[in-house]
Amino acid sequence: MLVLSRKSGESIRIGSTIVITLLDSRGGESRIGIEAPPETPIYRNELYLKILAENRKAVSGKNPTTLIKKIIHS
Amino acid sequence: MSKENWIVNFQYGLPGFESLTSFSINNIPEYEPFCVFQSQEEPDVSMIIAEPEVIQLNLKNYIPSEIKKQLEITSDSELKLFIIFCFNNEKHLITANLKAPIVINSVLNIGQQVILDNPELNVNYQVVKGISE
Repeated sequence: MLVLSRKSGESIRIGSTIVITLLDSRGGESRIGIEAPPETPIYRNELYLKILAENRKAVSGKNPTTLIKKIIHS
Repeated sequence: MSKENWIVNFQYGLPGFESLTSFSINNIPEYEPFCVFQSQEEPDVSMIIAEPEVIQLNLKNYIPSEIKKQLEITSDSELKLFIIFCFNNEKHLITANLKAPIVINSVLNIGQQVILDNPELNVNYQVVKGISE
């Protein structure tokens, strides 16, 4: 992981099109501004990881046909 | 669009499977309207999906216009949505991921798994609560 220190108001540029700015910091929480092309998906990482885990769970479940019947008959 | 070996391209893959870009969608005979969503590159990666209407849910209004733009969807008839189901045989539990539906342009056959911000959409919405057989 690349680690950089920034003061409030300072930025980091990723590639040529993404700029991350530390807006302010207070009590262990910081507001971060992100400029990126509109097609760039931006997520709180914990949410992305939650979806990732759910996708992996969905792949690993085997032979669900009896359970599918339950939905169809409800 | 008939769901018989329908191949859809996912430019960014899926969270957790970012390198897999080609998926097929096939009906499961006798288990309509459920379908198998399977990677063409890694056939072991497969999931059960269905349109949200199977649990009486309409997600079309939740899809941001920016996503429709990226998928070049210009009319509702081109938009196809699927939700991914998780089956827990031990607990007799079925959950559906309402938070990250699969969004497809059914004319161009391109899609994305889109993560929706709305707090009321649950990642593991219980479709069937634990029932003992």
